[in-house]
Amino acid sequence: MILIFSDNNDRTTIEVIRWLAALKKDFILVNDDEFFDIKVDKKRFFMQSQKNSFFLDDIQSVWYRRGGIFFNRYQYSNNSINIYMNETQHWLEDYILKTLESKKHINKQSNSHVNKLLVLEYAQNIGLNVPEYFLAENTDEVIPGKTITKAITGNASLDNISENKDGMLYTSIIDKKEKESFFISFFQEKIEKDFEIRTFYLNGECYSMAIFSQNDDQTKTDFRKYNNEKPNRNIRYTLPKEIEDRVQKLMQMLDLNCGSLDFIKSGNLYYFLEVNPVGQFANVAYHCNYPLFKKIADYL
Amino acid sequence: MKENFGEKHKLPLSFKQMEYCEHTGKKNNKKIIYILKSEKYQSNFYVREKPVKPLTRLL
Amino acid sequence: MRYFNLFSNILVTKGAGRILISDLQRNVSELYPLELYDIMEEFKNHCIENVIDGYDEESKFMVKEYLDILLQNEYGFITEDHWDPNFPGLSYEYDEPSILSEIFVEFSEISILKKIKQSVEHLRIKHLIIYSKKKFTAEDFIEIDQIFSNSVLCGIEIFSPFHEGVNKLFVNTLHKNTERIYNIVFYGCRKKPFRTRDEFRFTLYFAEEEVKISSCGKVDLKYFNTNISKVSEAVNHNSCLHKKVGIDISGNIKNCPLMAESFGNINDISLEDAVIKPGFRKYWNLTKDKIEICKDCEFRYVCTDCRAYTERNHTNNEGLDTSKPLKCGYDPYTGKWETWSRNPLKQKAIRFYEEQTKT
Repeated sequence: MILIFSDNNDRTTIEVIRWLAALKKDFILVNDDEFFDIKVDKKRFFMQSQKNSFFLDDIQSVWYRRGGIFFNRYQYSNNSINIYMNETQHWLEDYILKTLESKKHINKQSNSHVNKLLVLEYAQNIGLNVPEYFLAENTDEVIPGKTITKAITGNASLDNISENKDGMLYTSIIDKKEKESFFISFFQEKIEKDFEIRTFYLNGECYSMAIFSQNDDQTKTDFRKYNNEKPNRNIRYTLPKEIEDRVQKLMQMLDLNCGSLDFIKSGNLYYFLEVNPVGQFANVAYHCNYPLFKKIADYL
Repeated sequence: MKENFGEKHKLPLSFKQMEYCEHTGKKNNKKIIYILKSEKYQSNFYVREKPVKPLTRLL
Repeated sequence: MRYFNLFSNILVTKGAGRILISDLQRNVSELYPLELYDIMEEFKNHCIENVIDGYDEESKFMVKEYLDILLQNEYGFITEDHWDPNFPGLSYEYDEPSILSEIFVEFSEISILKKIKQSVEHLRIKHLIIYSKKKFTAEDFIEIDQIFSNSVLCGIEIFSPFHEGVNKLFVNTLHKNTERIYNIVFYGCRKKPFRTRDEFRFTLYFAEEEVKISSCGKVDLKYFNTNISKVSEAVNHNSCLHKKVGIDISGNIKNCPLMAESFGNINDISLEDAVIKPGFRKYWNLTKDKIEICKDCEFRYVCTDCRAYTERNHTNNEGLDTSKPLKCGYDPYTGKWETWSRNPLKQKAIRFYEEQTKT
């Protein structure tokens, strides 16, 4: 039995499920709005939510696409009892989580989000080029026009920041020095790019896509005569072997066996930007005709 | 926007260049999709799709 | 030295008289002269300067113009010193998890649809197309849609006769009570009951012609389309019959309701049984490259084949009909479209099919 954790809206999950059906593999799809009770039946752990149920030992592989396993935890009225029971339930939940993560899996609940600062350090340590970066509370080290700032969070949007408006914190270029100081912010060298690369990594294999966008400074190309309304060009790409080897080392260091990595190609150099363990890759599969959904279904 | 969003503590520099868009929900709705249920795929979010090629050529 | 790199999702199809350049990302195809094919081949093997130098003075200008067109359409990009080796060719592999993609039913009675429901689930069929000679009430439409609620079908398309009951209220009832139907065509409609705007959850057409099921098989520019799924299927398989099944008005299970060969009747066997019968899949891998005349046509990967109505003048070693579709009026050797029904060379085949309809 394959266990899939996803959120309701993810279409990538359905594409993989269609292949599981073709391969005649049984699966349970758990959504992020389900809460599980932990039970024991005839010495076996049994999980039950509003919608699904399974024996822990029936599970052979797990795909943490989105969300995860969430538990119902009982609260007790006596404070002392509550503290004790909270810890008891915590250890049961911990056992379930760790047991699931020890099975064959694609991604894990515990590291579905990564620390961007640590990732950049690891990347540098294993020899990937990373645009020079630093953290600061003022613009003293910032070179206007040549430095960008971006979020260290996974999500850069602020829903409903004011009445009926969402805020977006896009990566932006710093044009001028600031007099005042500010909260610790992340700064990075602006790289003149030829194009971007998105790589989908799965168990040691890299599937890359080059993205040519309208904003690229193409010192070596001269197709600036185009119509500005054309969307980006998304093209199958192969990273050089040295880069793919380092990608594999980085992913192993992060204990990730699946994720999307972003690079910038500039001249002869590849600059690593970030990795997203649960990012979107359907566009990589579709535009480059990579059989990614089938590969995931094959592996599970 | 109010000065520092009305916050007492400092914010990162990106906030100075925040962009706004209408709260229409997460995705930009340039395409309406119709959602179906599929028992076999255990999904409440099975997307209705037109075929990628004309399946019949009657007209 | 500058080098031209063609983007791998640009497909160039060479026809007898011209070429079609298909942009598989932006889903657009454009026609160009044959000479551009030769120039693009040269760009694959020589640097831009050498290619231009290889032409006489008058033609140099033409080569530069073509290069401009290629760049403006973003068919490729330029690099210095050599081509960029990190751009592999696109793979045209086509892999579809369902055993059958679509089923085309010539409607006789609703019980047939109920009968196939389980098979549709097992075979994981994606689309259902129904052609009906019978007029459908709103309840009929709703019942059809409900038979397949919770199923693996991701879309239903229905062709049925127009009748007086079909008005805005009727269509609104369908809009509120159906979910899988994405397209409805009411045929034989002399006067549209109301003006259609994009207001319903399905597309709606009122066709004046009395569409018969035998009207199918037309090859026309309006049915051509470009996208990577369709093209990769066409490169590897028959672009109409691959993973398709049909049920005719008598319940006979065929590759398509208009074909002659039956693989059993739905009242006796299941769709699953029919699909595994020897010969059921024999046309599935007959690509346009193996069909006479089509193999020299620049449109062969963006059009849709028809094996039900052909010119009936070629068979291959395995006994498969490899003739050009009957209802295609395009001649790749002249580059001209003509009314196929008036072509004297097609009359014999036309009469054959007319006789077949009568029996």
